[in-house]
Amino acid sequence: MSDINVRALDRELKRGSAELLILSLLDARPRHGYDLSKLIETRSRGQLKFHLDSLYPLLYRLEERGWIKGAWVEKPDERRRRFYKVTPEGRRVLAQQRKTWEAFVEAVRRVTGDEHA
Amino acid sequence: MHDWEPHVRPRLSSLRLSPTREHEIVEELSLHLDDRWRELVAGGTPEDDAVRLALAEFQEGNLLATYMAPLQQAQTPAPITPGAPAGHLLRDLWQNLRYATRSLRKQPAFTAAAVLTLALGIGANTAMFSIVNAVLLQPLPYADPSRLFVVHGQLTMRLSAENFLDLQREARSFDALGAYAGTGFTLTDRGEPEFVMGEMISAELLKALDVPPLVGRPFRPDENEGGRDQVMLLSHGLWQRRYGGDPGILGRTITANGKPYTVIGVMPAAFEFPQKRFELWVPFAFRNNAQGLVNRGTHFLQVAGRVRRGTSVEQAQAEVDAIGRRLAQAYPDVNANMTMRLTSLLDETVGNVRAALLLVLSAVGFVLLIACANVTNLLLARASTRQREIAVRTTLGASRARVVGQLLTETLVLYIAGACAGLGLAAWGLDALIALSPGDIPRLDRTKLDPTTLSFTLGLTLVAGIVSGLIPALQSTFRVPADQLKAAARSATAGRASRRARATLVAAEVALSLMLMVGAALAAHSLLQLQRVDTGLDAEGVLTFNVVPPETAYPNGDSVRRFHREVIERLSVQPGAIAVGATSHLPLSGQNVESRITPEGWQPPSPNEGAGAGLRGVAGHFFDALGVRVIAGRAFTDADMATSPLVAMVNEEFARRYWPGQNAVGKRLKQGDIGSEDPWKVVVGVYADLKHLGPQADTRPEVMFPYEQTHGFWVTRFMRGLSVVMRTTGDPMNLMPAARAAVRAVDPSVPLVEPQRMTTLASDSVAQPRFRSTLLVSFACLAMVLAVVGIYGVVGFNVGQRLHEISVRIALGAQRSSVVRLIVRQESVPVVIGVAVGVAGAIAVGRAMRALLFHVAPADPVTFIAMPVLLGAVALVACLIPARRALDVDPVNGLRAE
Repeated sequence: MSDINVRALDRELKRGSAELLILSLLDARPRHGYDLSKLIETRSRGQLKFHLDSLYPLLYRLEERGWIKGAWVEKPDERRRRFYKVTPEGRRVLAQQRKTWEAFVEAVRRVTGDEHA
Repeated sequence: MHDWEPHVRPRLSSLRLSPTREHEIVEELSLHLDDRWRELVAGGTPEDDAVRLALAEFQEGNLLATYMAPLQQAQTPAPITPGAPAGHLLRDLWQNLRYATRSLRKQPAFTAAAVLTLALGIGANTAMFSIVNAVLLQPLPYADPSRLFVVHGQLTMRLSAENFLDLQREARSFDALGAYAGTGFTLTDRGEPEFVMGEMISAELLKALDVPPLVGRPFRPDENEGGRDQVMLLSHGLWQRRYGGDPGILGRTITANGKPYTVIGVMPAAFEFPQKRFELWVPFAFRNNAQGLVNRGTHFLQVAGRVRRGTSVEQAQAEVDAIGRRLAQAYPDVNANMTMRLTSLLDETVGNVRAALLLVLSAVGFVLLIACANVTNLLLARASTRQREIAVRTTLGASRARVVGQLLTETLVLYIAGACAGLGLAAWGLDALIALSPGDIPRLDRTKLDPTTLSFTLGLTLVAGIVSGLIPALQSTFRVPADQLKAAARSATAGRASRRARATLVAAEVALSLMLMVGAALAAHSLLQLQRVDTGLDAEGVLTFNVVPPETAYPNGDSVRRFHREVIERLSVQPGAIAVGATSHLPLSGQNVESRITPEGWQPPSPNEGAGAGLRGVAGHFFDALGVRVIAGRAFTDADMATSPLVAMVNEEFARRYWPGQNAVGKRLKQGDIGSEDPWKVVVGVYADLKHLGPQADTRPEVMFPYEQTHGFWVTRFMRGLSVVMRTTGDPMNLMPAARAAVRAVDPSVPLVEPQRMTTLASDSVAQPRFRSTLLVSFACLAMVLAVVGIYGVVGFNVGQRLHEISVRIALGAQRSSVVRLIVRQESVPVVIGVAVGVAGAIAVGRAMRALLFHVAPADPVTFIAMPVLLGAVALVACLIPARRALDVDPVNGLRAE
């Protein structure tokens, strides 16, 4: 993966992992904010937890970038909720980020694998 | 759902989110917290602990705001609604302006009413101010004009030539002193003979005014001597009009009054001295080879001078006084009680129209005040319906200054819109005003909407707008918001303070318009009295024009008399001519010449006091032609020739003053004092008083002589030109071609000067009073309409606010008619107060106008009863119409509206 330079990799590691998480979760189907936070918490078995005051600013940022789109949805006998889904642009970004992530994981594996080989 | 909003919203307050966005985020985060809380409670956590745990989603510090701050949605500009803390001054202003325009556009009826009212007030003021600016305030078009003065002698305001020369020689306070005297010139050098007015001046005059000719040179002092005086300066207008701007005009010979004059220069276009109608200047010959120095007793020169730099007016006046005393001592026979008074040239030029113009300017000032009061009332009414909005803004944290600023901006936008519309009205109205004005207002033609006028309008608009806007703005922000919200929620009666402010404004409007109405009525009454004055003649069907036989062709009395005799004879035989006569001084024209007269047997009250009278020579059938009534004795006839016994006629005033209680017919009189060589003349008739100086002037004693018997010196010197009067059948102007032909038959070089109907002259003689009373009456009507509209609006608003109270009264069994009476009684209180104050003010107005009134007392009882009654009646109707709405009130609806 010679086309990914080290600096970009580093940045993605720090800031992009959260975005990757959100986009991946929304890729399957639209979800609302609380649903997202629960999913992350349960799937990571409590290892990863988004607080309200970091989750929502992140959602709004992704929305502003045009990667996801929120919409109020009303269902019978339920309060209306804001559901987010991935936009085509978001999907493109997601694919790109997945590649970067895989490259990163592969790189780490090689390095650590060499040590332990 | 638990109320999470108080925990969420404050965390967002530092972000500049749009209200809608903020609301969405609050809802979304509250849902999140609520989900968490439900989950905890479902898991067995006590509710209170669940709240605490859910709120733990918020970490230390306001991370939410920190993370959101970089987002675009947190960058939206502050909403225009003034709830946010005040920031940048210019930005506030811009926001205020945008908000004001928007809010005014939402109420088109209110905005249109206010803008129209203001446009009328501001437009009228702009137009009048531009006239006052051009006529009264602009400096004269001379260098350093504040140092220019005229020297007035006593009585005739003029000086004799010898007194002038002494003054000029002795006075040290002046850079230059010059003399001038107006006279008519008939130009016969080319084409049709033309009559123009000109001035005989001394060379020093141009030096005093400090105006060099546009081309050529000014007069030299030696040209003020007989024999060297046949040089001429032309006005720019005459040069262009008659000589086509001929560049070779210098050195050209022009025949004026039969004498050849050499053109030595053309004056600049702006040079209009002493007035615009004077179009050429020739030197005045102080010393004439034939007659020696012009005598000391005949006062006919006007004098103007430039006071030396560094010399005060008082010093100059003191010096002139000293010279006057010396001249009086040296020549007691002709200079007794001689005084000379300095008056600024500007006052001399515009002094006679100043009072009238300032009066009309004050009148339009009143109109503007009334217009402002109306708009302020509209604003007050509007403010009280906006109490809720203002309270909400104040609650949201807008400072009082900020809300006042916002309301004031709205008012100013309104006023500036009014000013723009007013400028349009002024531009249009100015042309109408100038067209309506009499031709004799100096410098009126220079009126224009210039930067000075525009600054005046802008200043006026801002001051009026701020005053008018501050009252409602301060008042509506004065109360504590909580009270205001409650009051607004009840939508009950308007606040007492605001009510009182509206009542005060109504009273002020009524008072101002009453003052204006009384002033206008006094002026109109005065005009009526002027038009009712018996001028002693019958102007209907009379044609008049002047003919002046030139000096060269008609050098002596006999030749001049023969010329006029022939003209009158030829005119008399024209078909359509009923009677033809001529006079040296036409009544109503303002022409006059006075002389010392000795009535036989009259004893002067003191030895120094002589009898004086206006002298007129009349020819042909003057009395029949002009319809002058002969009260006693007979009129002159064709038999009163040079060779027959010398006769005279006197007017009633002469007979009353000098021969009181006696029959004047048969008495004798002569010109000059008792010792003069003038022969005695027998009075053969007394005629009705004629108004020579216009209808407002006092009647002076007059003597008429048959032109045929008038001394040759007087004929050639003072009575060379005669005003012909022709009584005709039908429109007198139809006889003009015949009259022109008749005069041409006698001498083709003599033009008909100023031909006009006598009725035009009569009408022109009251042109100034008519102009000012027309203006005053129009403005008073405007004021009344504005005031009535104001009263109607306020009463209508008050009744609207009281519908609840009215419903209660009717529900409790009050008669509807008695409710209407109650409303009218209460609402008319400010009108009554206004009328009372207005009457007091009108007395002051009457006093200020005293000098402009004619045969009308400043406190004329008819006016002072009629105007308050008229205004009161109209105001009552304006109260009654909206009050009658109470009759239609359905008490159930009125109460339900609460």
